[in-house]
Amino acid sequence: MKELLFALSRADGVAGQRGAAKVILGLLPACARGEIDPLGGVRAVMGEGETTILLAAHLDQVGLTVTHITKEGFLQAAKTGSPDVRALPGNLLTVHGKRAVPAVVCATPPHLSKKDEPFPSFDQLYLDTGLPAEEVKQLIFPGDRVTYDMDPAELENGLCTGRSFDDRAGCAVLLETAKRLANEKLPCRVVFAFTAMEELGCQGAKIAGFAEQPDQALAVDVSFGDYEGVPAHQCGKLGEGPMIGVAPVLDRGITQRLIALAKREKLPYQLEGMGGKTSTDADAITVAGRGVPSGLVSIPLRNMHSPVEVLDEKDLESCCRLFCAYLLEGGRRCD
Amino acid sequence: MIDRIEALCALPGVSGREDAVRAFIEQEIASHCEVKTDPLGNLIAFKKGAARPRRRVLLDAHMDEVGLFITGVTDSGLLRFATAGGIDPKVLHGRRVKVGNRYGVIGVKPVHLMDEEERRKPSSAAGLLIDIGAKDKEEALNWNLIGETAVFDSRFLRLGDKITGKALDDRIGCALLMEMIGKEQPYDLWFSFSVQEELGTRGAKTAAFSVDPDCAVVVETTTAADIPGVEEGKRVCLLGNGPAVSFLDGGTCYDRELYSLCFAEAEKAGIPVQPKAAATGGNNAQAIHVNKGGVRTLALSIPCRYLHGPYGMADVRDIAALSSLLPVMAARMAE
Repeated sequence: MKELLFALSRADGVAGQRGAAKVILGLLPACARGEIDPLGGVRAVMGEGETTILLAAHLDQVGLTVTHITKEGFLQAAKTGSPDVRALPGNLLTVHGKRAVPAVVCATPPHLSKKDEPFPSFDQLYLDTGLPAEEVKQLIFPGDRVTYDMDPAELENGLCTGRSFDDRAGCAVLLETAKRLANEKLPCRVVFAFTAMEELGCQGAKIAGFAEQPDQALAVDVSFGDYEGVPAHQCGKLGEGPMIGVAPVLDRGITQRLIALAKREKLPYQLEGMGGKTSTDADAITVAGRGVPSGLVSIPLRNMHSPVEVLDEKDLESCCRLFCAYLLEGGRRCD
Repeated sequence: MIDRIEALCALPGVSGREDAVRAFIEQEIASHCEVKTDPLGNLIAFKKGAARPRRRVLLDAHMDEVGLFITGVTDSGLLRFATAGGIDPKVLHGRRVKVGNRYGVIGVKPVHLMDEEERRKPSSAAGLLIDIGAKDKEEALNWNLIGETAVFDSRFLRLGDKITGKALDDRIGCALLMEMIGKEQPYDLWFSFSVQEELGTRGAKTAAFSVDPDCAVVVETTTAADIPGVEEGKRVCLLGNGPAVSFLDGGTCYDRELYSLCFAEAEKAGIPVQPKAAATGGNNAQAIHVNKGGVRTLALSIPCRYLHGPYGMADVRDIAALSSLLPVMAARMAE
């Protein structure tokens, strides 16, 4: 699934951009009828049956939006979602104006830098395209989106690194699941929802849940991966399987079925216990329309929201197999 | 010229590991001069000119770049490092590097798990680690990475009149000297492509001793702080206003006569130059001007924004201006 993940990582999809949606439409199997929804998400339907199960992964990524162009031609930008400001000073970004314009984020020069000076806040950041002010004003307009410039790459032991794995990892799982089930007789109707604007507050999941009013939903997102300095109890371990969410807002019958299926299929899995809500699309889908019982599975991910997110491809594979098993049963919940 | 700078910047050459840069330069210049490598690794070239000079003139540029030195491995297989040269830790968080031939990423605690104050507080370089995907300490140790160096994984881009990438400091200087060696010169000239500038101008010390010049020109890059938020008196020099000529910095009080001569010659030839309007920083002049009985020294630098980060930025018009000015000054100093 690495090629799929990398192709999705390269697509541009800060809230409001359509690049990722178009790439996803092109990667869906022919039998899935895919459409772009009013907020820029993608929904595709496969199979028939009395029960409708919605699978959700968000297609938007964290980024910035241009707010102002100074008279010298430097750009100011607001965060769109929560990009990691620590990864910005002195780094390269892409401004999506009339064409893709590379820009370096201004960094404090060494002779003016004080020891222990904090990272700038977003309103102290300036972007430098290197172009004359008149050219900048012709190419770029307030509202243009800005993304990290980062091509995905492989680390050792099958680990992958890149931007926007949150939640293109989930999108990759959904696309691969659709592909593997394309020639199967599904006992249910399945809606693959690639939701927009999760990073702004799950707006895309809200409308997808309402419009489809499914009987059940499974969301797939990313969660914190083990790393030094991050409390171990808040992390899943990379490569030890997807994290099945256990939370009050999630449906216990679905959660228990996911655990039972992981055991039956001999798939590695980890449990992620949460006290209330899940900070994923599942929170919005569960209360969409008359309500949707939902489960959540998360891929462990290091350095979330930075341009150097890291995950283990094996966890995507296990998650995909778990979803295939669940859907082939038609979404049988545990009592 | 810019193609050559691009090729030079692509090479890894952290202080003490300039081998790839040296090999490239040696191969390119060998047919135009006499060349040897000294015991520290400096590449020293003698270019025969049309006439014997009255004074021996040395032109110097350093081959090394700032980077990281791997010093240890944690139990979980992450790499500890020290910085080679002055790098603001704020440009290390969440960045991708090349550790030898392997990709690595400098990890960060997820923004979600920190409050605003913690989010904006930079770790010291000693508190940061590189993740190359090793399973554990044993595996990482087997790869023999202690003592290995890492460089920023940056692209090289042309942005209108500007270029951006890593190691512009001082591969631009190297490219300018290589260009001079490739052309006929009126007088004999000596060149040093020196090592370990970023560790305290160590290479230039032995290179100057061996060449024993009467006069020297240090060809460098220097901080340009012509960015938003920096008041006029603290901008040092401006991109596009020509090479910066040093009168005083943290290591050298420059020869007053050469400083004035440089402005006079530039004016005569219609080449833009500007004073380096700050008494900070330092370069190989600090080692060269006190060599043996003393060396009259001039420093000419390409203004560069975001120096010592993954994406410096320089103006090709300044590079063209210095390319015209260097032969003029070398000839005046030699005659």
